[in-house]
Amino acid sequence: MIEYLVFSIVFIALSLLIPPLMDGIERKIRARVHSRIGPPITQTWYDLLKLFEKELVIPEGGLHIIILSLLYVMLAILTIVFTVSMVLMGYHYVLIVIITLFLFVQAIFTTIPFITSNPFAIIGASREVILALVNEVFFVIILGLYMYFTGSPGLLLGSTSLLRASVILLVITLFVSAYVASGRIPFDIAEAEPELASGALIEFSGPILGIFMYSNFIKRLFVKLVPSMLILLPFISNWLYLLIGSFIMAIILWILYGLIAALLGRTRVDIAPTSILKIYIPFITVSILLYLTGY
Amino acid sequence: MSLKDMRRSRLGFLRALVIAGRSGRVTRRYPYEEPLVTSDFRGKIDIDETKCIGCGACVNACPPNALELINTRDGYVSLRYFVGRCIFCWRCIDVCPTGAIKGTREFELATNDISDLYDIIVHEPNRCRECGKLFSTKRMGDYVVTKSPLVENYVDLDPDCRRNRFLKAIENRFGGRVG
Amino acid sequence: MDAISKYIETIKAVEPRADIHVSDDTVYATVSSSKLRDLAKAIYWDMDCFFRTCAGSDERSINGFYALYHIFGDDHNGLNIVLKVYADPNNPTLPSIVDIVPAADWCEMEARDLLGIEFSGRKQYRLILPPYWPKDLYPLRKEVSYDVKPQVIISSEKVGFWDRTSAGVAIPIGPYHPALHEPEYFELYVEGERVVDVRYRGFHVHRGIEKLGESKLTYQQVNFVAERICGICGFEHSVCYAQAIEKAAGIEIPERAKFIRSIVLEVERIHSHLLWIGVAVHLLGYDTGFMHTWRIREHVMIIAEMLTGSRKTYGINLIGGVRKDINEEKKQRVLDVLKIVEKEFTELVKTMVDVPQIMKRLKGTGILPREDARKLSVVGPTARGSGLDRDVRRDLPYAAYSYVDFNVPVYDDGDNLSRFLVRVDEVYESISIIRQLLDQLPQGPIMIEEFDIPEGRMAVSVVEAPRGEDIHFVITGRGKPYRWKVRAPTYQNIPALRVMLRDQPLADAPLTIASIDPCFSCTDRVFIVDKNGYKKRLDPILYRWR
Repeated sequence: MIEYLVFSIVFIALSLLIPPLMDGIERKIRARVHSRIGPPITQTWYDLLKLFEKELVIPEGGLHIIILSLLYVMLAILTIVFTVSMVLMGYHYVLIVIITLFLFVQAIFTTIPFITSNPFAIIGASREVILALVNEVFFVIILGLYMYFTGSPGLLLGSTSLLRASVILLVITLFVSAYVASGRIPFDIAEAEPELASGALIEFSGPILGIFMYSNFIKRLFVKLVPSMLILLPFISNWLYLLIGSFIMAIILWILYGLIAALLGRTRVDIAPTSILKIYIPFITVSILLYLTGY
Repeated sequence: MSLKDMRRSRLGFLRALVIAGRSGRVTRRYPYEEPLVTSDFRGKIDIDETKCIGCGACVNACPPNALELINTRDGYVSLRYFVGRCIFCWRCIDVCPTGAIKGTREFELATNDISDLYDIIVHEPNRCRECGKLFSTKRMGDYVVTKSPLVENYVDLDPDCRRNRFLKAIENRFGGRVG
Repeated sequence: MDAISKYIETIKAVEPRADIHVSDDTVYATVSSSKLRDLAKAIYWDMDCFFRTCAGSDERSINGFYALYHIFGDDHNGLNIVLKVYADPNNPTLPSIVDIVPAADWCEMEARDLLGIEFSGRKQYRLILPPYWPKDLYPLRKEVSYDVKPQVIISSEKVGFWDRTSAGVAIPIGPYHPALHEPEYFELYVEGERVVDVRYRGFHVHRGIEKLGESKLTYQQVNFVAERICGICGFEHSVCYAQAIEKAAGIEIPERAKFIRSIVLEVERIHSHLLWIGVAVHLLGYDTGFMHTWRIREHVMIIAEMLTGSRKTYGINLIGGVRKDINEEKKQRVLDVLKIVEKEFTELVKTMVDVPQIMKRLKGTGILPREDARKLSVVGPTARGSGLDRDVRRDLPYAAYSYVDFNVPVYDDGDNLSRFLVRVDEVYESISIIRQLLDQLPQGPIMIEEFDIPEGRMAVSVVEAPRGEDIHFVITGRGKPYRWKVRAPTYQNIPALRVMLRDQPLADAPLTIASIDPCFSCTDRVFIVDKNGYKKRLDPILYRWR
């Protein structure tokens, strides 16, 4: 029991501290691709702390924005906390809880900018809605199919029945979904800086912006943890080792995704859904066919 | 080099990694490294006070009026160079008759104290031998004499006295009175 | 000569009493204002000329009238045609030609704002001066001193200020916006993601340059002010001004000076196009391309510094020649750097074209059809991207361009990709031109020391800036110009934005605005009240040089 508590606290602390650090590493990698030196790794933490020191400016739309922002950050943190502790505990319905919490988080993130009456924010948020309608729906579909194929709403630790082609294909599609959900180029159209002057985040400054940015980083870690856990599941037979392995894999993924983001340009809101669907629909169809034919 | 000439491939954007790898990091760690300034760079100017004669040719040529002739004391004419307004065009160097202005490659000129940006060269004025008024500079008088020895006769008279002498000379020569 | 006689015939056919004289490549015709519209139609449409600009001038101290000069250009024959009309000094009114020549819209309003010449037969509006500027204070009139500061009550303009053509949300882009590097204001009326209309309100960085050139500076000093009209294409402004005065005064500069001017002009063109390509891909989110393009551009900046003494605002141009020479060692350095630039640029463009998002967003966006481009007389890569084959270096050769061979890239689609490709091709052409010029560089002096500039002469000088054709029109005075009119290329291209931005997705708006390579500092040149657009403070420092 004590062990479990200690490990939980350690991993939760890690997952709250690492994301901004990983963003710093990503900036360093992007700088290297640009032939620059780039800021030090701790720069993102420094930026967040500096934002929290600034004065609180209530955005247009009133006080409820601040309350909703606090709700948003609490939900984001809660998502990670629940994921970590439930995995360690071996909870039976962990996948369902994960899906629910993630959908809540995304829903709040897309709603808040609509309440401010800034046209840039509204356009940015509507772009985010269009993207989310495609991406999050498929996130749910993929995880739903996964639960159906494996026959369990939880994680089947060390089960070799997970080494089927249909399941593996689903997990690979989840990796792509993780990239889209992390709001990197080419899919950062909600906050396209040259086009919308920060788009969805335009009305936020100071501590509120700090809250939003921090929550976005935590969300990025979360969306990478989920496919990492699923892909490592067949090979590991201990919850603790699963969590450690997933964290390491999530960190490697973060670096890889950062590298890919540095090499592409930003897409447009009418092109983005079609380009994503061109990947999802074939993959999922093939996966279903494989399952139906027994693989 | 139109689009049709360039063969396009699906993964061609990965070539950016090759380009980045080859160029390394090009950031210059200034101020811990020397800045990239060539030997032709035009920086601020340096006025040699032993050669300047206070003629004001540079003042006429200076487009933003960074060089000005001002009065520091009663009658004393001084050349003032204000770096804050200088555009580093070096026209003053082109037109200086004695070559008193030299160009340097200094550009790190920021300071908290604005008086650092003023260079003032005070010139000793000429004193008119008739009315005692101060005018122009002594060195300018000496310079003009070296170029045209004839003027030694009246180089130490101020312009008003000079004019009066000239009018008197015309009166003496042609008779009558000149207003 | 044949073409010139044709123009003289045409003008005399409409206005037999016209006073015509020909100087070099320009036909000057003084006509009465009643025949102005017919003449404009004859020249602009029947003779198929382009419109360059119009300049108002306060000539009451010379002949008692206000004058307006309409300058047309015939690129096929390399001619300028200047129509001069006089306006009554007590009530200056002239017929407007904007329905015949839509390109004349802005310069007529500029003459109205700055000189008080009213135009009949059109809707007039305040273009350059802010709405709270006093109604009867016309800055370019000779009795108004260059450092006058009127007492004003500053009011701000609100979004949605103008009447809309259709209902929609007004999105303000500017005066502060991450996509823009200079202050300007575009009001986009959007429905969802689709732009339905655009209003432009610019002229936030007027600096009083034309007035300064006429009041406080001498001939040689104006070169340096001209260079600072723009931070990217300053040298071509200074060349254009120097050429205008040299043309007016009949000064023939040494051949070597012409070659050096051309070499530095092409160096400036390469750096400007590389800058633009970097900015364009940055607006598309591809920062890697931005950084690497500017890394390559750094080589060009270093050779600019080596050749002229400064990375930008070169300061080597004077009336009569240039101030800095090129020796063998510098020539070799330039050739080495050009080789490096060519190789790396080719590789980088190939990589950028392979990024799927860049091609998808450049192709088919921001379309400017050929007929609109012709009506609005757009210039530079904007025109060449829409199928108009115009390049002043080839049509009215100046400096040393008559000695070199080069192609003028023209693409027909009129979208952002065409303008992008025109600029890419022009980089290669510029590299080839510099190599040819360095090869043929003649010996000799680089400056004429003794020359005379008589009063009362006029000249039109045209130079191909990286953004298009730049025009300086001067009337010489005593020791300084009497009238100096600058029409920068972006001034001519901005009215085309309204056509290009219609029915486009909002996401492409910043890229479309950037695709004409806007240089707003070039565009706004005249009197300034308010440096930052809406800041509620009158900045006194900007009026005075001292």
